[in-house]
Amino acid sequence: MVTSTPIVEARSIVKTYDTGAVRVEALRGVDLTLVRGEMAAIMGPSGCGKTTLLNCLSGLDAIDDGDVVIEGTSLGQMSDRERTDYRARHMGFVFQFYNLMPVLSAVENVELPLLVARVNARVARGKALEALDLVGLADRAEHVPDALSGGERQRVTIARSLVNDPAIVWADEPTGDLDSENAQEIVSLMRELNLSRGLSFLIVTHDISVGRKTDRIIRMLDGVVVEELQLEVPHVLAGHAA
Amino acid sequence: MNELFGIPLDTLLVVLAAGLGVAFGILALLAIRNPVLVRLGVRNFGRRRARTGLIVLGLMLGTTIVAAALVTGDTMSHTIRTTATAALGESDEAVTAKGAVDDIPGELGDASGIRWFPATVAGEIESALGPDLVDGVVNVIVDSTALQAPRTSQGEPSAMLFAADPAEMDGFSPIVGSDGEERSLADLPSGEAYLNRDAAEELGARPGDTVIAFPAGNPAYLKVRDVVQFNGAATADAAVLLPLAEAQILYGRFDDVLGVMISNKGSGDGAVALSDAVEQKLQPTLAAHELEVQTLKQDAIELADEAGSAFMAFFTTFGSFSIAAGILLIFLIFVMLAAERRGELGIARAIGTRRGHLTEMFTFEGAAYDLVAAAVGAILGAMVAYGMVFLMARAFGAEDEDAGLQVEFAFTWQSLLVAFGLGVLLTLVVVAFSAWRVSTMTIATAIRNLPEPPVVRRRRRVVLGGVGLAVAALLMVTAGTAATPLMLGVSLAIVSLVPFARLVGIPDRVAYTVAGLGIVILLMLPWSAWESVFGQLSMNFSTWIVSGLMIVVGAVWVIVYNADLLLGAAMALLGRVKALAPLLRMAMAYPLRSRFRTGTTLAMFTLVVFTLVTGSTSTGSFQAAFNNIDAFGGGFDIRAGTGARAAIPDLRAELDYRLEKRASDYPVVASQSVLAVDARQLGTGRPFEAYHVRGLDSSFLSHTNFQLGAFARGYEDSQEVWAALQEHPGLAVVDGLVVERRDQFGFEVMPSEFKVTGFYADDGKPFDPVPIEVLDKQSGKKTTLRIIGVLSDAAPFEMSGISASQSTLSAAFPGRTDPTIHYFTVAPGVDPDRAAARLEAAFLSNGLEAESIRKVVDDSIAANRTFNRLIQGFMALGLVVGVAALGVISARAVVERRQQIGVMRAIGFRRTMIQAVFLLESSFVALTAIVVGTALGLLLGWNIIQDSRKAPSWSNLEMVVPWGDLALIFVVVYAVALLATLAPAIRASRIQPAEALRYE
Repeated sequence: MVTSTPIVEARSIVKTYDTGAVRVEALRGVDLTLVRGEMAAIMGPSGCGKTTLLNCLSGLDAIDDGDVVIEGTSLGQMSDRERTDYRARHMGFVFQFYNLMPVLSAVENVELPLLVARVNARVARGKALEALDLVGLADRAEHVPDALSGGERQRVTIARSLVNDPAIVWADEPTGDLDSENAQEIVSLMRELNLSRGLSFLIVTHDISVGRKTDRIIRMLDGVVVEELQLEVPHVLAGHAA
Repeated sequence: MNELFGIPLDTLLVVLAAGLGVAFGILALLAIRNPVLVRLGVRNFGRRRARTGLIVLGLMLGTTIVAAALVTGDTMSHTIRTTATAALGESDEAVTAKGAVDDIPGELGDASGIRWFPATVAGEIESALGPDLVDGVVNVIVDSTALQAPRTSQGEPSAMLFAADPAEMDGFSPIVGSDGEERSLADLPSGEAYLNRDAAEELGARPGDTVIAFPAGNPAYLKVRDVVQFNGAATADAAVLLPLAEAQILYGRFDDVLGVMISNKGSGDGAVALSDAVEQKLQPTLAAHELEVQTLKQDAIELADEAGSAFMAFFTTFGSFSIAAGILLIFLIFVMLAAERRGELGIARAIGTRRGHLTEMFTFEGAAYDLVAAAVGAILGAMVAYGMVFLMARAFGAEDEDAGLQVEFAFTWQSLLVAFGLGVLLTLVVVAFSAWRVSTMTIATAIRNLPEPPVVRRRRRVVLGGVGLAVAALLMVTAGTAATPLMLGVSLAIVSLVPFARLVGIPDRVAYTVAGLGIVILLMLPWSAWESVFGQLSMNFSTWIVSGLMIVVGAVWVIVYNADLLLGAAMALLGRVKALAPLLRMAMAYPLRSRFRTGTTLAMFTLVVFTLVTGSTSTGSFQAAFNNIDAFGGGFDIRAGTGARAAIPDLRAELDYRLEKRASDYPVVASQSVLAVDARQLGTGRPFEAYHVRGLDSSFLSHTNFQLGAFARGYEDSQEVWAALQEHPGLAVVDGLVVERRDQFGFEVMPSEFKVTGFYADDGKPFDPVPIEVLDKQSGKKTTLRIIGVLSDAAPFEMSGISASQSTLSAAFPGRTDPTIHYFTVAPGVDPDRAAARLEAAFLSNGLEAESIRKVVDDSIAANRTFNRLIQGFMALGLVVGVAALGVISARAVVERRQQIGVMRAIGFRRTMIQAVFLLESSFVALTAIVVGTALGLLLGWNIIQDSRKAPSWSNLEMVVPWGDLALIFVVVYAVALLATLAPAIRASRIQPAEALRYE
């Protein structure tokens, strides 16, 4: 369900890390647009700026120059607090190492963004259970992350990322810590959610098999986008979208 | 010599030095074998200065508390020594009539009939001792007298008249005039005197003024020649100085003296060391004259050291919970340090470092922290003691120059070294244990910083449980009637059952909860419940310490294994506040998961809060019990004392004569005599020991309502006993301090070696009358008394001794028992304070010093309150340990949870929310400890009060909780705990999410 409405627009983003002794130009004027309902992958060699770009687009990191506009609103014009609140209500995150709260159960992890967004606790619990059901983990709701497998943990992370009904989900190497079977399952799940719920995904990955399952592959090298490759949506999944 | 834990400090120092020598010797050997491990360990010490500072702070707290206790003891010892030195100067011994200078406790009264003896004895003494032993021997008249200054209309009822032979004053302290020049008593013409500074200040007198002294009650007009400074007038307070010949004229004893002062060869400790030799050499001479020698300075120093030791024991006892908390903190710090380094330690193990090497490396690092921390802690302890001294000075009335005891800060290097040594050794042991614990890791998980996989160590559980049960059984079997080992044994047995319960598959939660509840409930049972099972038991402070520690362990187990219920309750209660829900969830989730950290910190806080509440409640209740004029004053409104030589045999008649119409303001006048004697319990074979008797006149016996704490068989209440004393000669009542007790809550400062045994003062059971024999050393006369009652513990110190009827004592010791202590009631509407002042004015010539009981009680309560607050403050020092633990945990949490903080920021936690999570987390621990510790403390306090009420002495005891003091302490501590967490919380909130998420 890809539309032509841009959800994320990056304009000439520059990001430099300067420790005093070392200066690294991580992003050197990146322009990028992601449309609503699109699932795109950023690929490239290590150190090319993929994660930095994702962090800058999601507002997790500040940019030195340029602008990031999400749903028509410039992140640069938001205060830290506004950016934080925006993330709570409109974004979801999936990380390579899951980054679940080890002290919370699966359902508690999933409902946390809702509680942060001040959703009623009972409503939050209901939605969290729904989200877990959606990723096939309804029966593991009360388990803590340590009691789940890698694939299950990443499913919990995905459930957490979509529980607040976000406009976009940012995924940084979501399959990086998984075996190939689990990796395929996770990508398929994201794709399914993308198609069925119209969720936009921007995925940073090294894995070409992950990239192939997206609508577009954006290749980066040395802090700039060097190539964008539009892919055909697999037929079976396209059918789901209808 | 001051003592700690009953061991002289010198001995303790040697033991500690040996212990340190062995410990550091072993470390040195290991260091020579593996110098690289020393480098690695010590390099970590300097790697992060802030972290090092925090660790040193944590490690030093135990040492600080020990040092503060020891230095406080030093201060008290020094203060009493200084007071003695001011009173005695260079005088080391005094030769007097037998029993003349024996101490009579309290501030009232004096023995009468003290014998004069010929001045020629001094020559014999000097010849007997020779120049090798003494610097000087001088005849003196030392007697209490009133002073009055007509110009200023000021009076001082109890000054000291010191008269010495000017020709023999060499070797004694100099008399220094107002111009700084030395003065001699020989410079004084007849009718002139020196005043010391205290006397001049009290009277507002200056050179040239006339003052009136009242030697033996007769006025003597003396012109003040100068205001001088003189150590050795037998008082640290007001004194008037005269030549001996002048005083002999005033007393009408031209060839006699009351004493011979001796200054030993040299000065200070060297001179005091000669006292035994002096005493021995004088025996034949003194026996011939029926005199005795008192080793005044040696005795004063011994008393000072005993008092110092008592203060040390007092503060170390009350500080023991804080020290225990401090040890827990040291353990916690090293466990956290190890957790921080787990990854690198895992890698070290992976590349071939042995477990032993890790233990050594950690111990080397710990030893470096340890040495610095113990040194800083000892110095800081001295500073804490300095602060406490200010408070003590207030408690002992230093603002009142006349109060006698001027608390003066002092410390000995010995104390600081003992504190340092104890701190170093204690910390080193904990460090070595922590290091061993750290070295047991699974390398694969350590490298990846993953949690240690659970391993069921069946053999270890069996061994632990088995050893625990064996020790518990041993303690219980050998306990006898001692409560401490019994309670420890029972608690240990319950604790030791936990490993077995886990072995057979009982869930941890159930095992720990049941065991924890079992310990708390058993140790909180009323005392009577324990005694109904185990028979009568005896308690002391160690019972409190042991049961306190075990109760806290039990309570903490229950909390940490059931804290999810707390979370559920908190969420149900506060989770509806939408803004709070995510904060509460995160703030409680971490403490719940990290049971060891949370439990340890909770234990530290709870331990101190618990003791603080128990201590404050019980002391507050007993203090309130003393705030009872009737109990303290025995039904009288005013009490007064006079000098022995100006005693008033029939005060009622004299009062009617001197006060005329105002005499009706005093409807009851009662009198007491007091006499220093030797006493022993018949039938025990024990020797005579110095003590004192009081003769209570019939007015006193028929009006007093001083309560008794124990009665002989056949007597039902206090009034019956007092009436029996009046009706039947030879009966007596004794104070509760010299009677054997089942429970020992004293601090080893006993008034006398004289003891009454055969029953317990605190049993509340009737006893068979106890026969004792009393000897007046001066006259050699003896009498037998039968003890039929024991004074209540609430009675004032001024009633201590063996009390019989005045008629009994005057018949036994004629001429020795003139009444010098008087009690009065006042008529309705008469102000007791004004009535007391009127008495002093009317009987100034007798040196009568009177105080209303209300004022005595108020002063005593005020002093007690200040002292209690001091103790509370000292115990609250332990809360600093808890605060430090929270600071350490929070600082560690920021590092540990860096990535999770990144996620929280990513999913919408604002900076302020991150801060709030950290602050709430600390609040959870601090507030839980405050609530649980307070509840447990109140419960134990209530038990103590209920148990005490069973003794007749305390049958009216009511529980009083100093809520205000406690609330203030807790609010301050909670605020400081939050402050300790604030810096890490702010650091956490400033973590950039993108940066944090890069960490694996």
